[in-house]
Amino acid sequence: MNTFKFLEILGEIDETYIIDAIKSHEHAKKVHQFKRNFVIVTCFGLLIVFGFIVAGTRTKEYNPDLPILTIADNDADGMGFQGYMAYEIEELVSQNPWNESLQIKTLPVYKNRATFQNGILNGASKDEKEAKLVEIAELFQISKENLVIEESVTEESTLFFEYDNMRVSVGFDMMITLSYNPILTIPDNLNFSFYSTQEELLKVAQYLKKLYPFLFEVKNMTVNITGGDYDFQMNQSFELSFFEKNGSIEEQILDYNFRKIMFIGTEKSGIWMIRFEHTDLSEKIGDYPIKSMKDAKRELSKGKYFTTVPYEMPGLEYVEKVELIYKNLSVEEYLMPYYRFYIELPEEERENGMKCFGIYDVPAIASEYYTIN
Amino acid sequence: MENKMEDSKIINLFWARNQEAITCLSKKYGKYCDTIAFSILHNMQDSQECVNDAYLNTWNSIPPQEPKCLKAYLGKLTRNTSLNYLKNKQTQKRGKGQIDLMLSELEDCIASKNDVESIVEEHELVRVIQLFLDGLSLYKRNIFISRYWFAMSNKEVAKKYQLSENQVSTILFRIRNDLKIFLTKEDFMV
Repeated sequence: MNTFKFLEILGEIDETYIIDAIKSHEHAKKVHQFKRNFVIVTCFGLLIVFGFIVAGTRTKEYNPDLPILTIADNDADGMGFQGYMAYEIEELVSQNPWNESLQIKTLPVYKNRATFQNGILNGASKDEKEAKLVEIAELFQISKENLVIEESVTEESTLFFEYDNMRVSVGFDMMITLSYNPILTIPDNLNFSFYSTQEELLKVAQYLKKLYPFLFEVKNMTVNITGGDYDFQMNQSFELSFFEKNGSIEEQILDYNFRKIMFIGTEKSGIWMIRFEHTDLSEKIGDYPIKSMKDAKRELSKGKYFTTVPYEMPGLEYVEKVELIYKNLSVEEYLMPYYRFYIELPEEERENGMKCFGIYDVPAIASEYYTIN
Repeated sequence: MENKMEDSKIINLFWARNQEAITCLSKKYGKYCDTIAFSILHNMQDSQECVNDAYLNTWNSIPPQEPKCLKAYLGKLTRNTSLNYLKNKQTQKRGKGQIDLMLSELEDCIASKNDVESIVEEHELVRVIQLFLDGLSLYKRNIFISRYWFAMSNKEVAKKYQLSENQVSTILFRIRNDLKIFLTKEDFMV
C-alpha cells in the first residue's frame, strides 16, 4: 500500500471522527478569542496607566471621545476567497465615486443593525418588514384586504407577498427584492442577460429609466456598471445598478455603498429581479479620521490586512488597483470603510494570459481607533 | 448581504431539488471547502474546480443521503474530489502544498510491499485505522485528523491547538510510530 492510497482510505473513516475534529477546531477558536480578548483588555489597561507615553505617539487630531472598535477577523465559513479573473485590471470596472486624489479627512462608522453571528440573526422586526411590504403594495395599488403576507420557508427572516407574476420580499436587512416569474420581457433589440456587455447594459439602463420613471425622476440616479471578471468558461460578466450621486463626496460614497437599485437579467434576455438596497444607518458610532494611502500600503506590506485569499500578499509591486469601500456583510459588527487592494497573484496566471486578482482589505480608519480580534 | 441558513434547511432544499441549495451551501461552507481543497492542491483554480465538483456530488447524492453533519459530509466530498483530481492530473507540484509533506511523513509508517487492492482489504483497512484512532486520546486523534484528513499544515495545527510547531511535530511523530506498530500487528505492514 502506498502512502497516497492510505490518505485516500483515511477519507473513508466514520464521520464521527471528523465531527469531533471540527468541534475541537471551533472550540479552539473560541478559547483563542477569549484569551486574545483578555490580552487585549490587559494591554489596553496598561496603556491607560502609561497614557502619557502613548499620547505622545498619537496623531495630532486624536479624538478620545471616539470609541475604539474591535474588528473581528471573520474567517471560517465565509463565502470563499475573493479573486477576480481578468486579462488586465482595467477590465474590472465600477463607478465608485472615490479616487486616490481625494483628500478625505473623516468618514462615518455605523453599528451594523442587520447581523448574523453565532447562529443568531439580528435585524428588522416583523412589524418593520410588514410595514415595508404594505408600503410597496400601495405603489402597485394593491389594497390591504387583497394583500397576503407570508413567511418564506427557504429564506430566513424574510416576508413576502405575490402579485400577478411578481414576488416581493423583504429580508432581515430590509433589502427589498422583486422577482418575476415568468421574467419581464424587454424589447428584442436589447440584451439583458448574464453576459451582457457594458455597451448593452448602458442601453438597458436607458430603457429602464423610461420604464420606471418614478424611480429616477427626483434623484440624480447614476448608472453603475460593475464587474468585468471572467468565469472558468471564460465568460465575462457585468452587473447593472443605480445609485444616487448627490451631495458631498462623503454622501456619494455612502450612497454608492449602501443605497442601490440593482437590476438582474437572466440567461435569456429579460428582467428577472430588482433589488432595492437601503441599509439601516440609524446607529452612527462617529466620524473617524481616515489614514493616508501611504499608511494603508505600509500596513498592507506588514501583513495587517483582511483577506480570504490563501496566499500571503506577494508584494506592493503587485498592487494593481485600490478602492475605498464599506464592507456590508452580516458578519461585520460595524459598517466601516476599508481600502480594498486588488493584488495580482502571479502563481495563478494561466497559459492564455488570464490573471487573477486577489482582494486584500485594510481598515481605512486611523489605526489608533481599532484593534483586531 | 449574505444570509446563512441552518444545515437542516439546506438539506431540505436538496431534497426538494431546489437549486438554491447549492447557493446556500456555498455561502455557508465555501471557504471551508476552499481551504480543504487548497491545502491538497495548492492551486486556486484547481481548488475552485474541485469545490464546484464537490457541490455537484452533493447535489447528486442528497437525496437519498441525509448527512448527520453537513459540514463533515461536504468536507469528505471535497477531500475525495481533490485527491482524485491530484491523482488523475499526475502532476503533483513538488515542494508545494501539504500533500507532498504528508506523503513523505507517512512513508516510514505506511509503505509496504503489499498493495491494498481489493475492496474487502480496503474496508478492512478502514476498520483497522478506526481501531487505531479509538486507541488514541481524543486530543491526539483530533491532531492526527487535522493533519492527515484536513491536510492542515503543522503551523495551522499548532495555531488551532495553541501548541508550538515543534510540539505538533513531536506528537505526530509519536502517533505515526504507534500507527506503524499497530498496522504491523494487524498484518498490513511487511
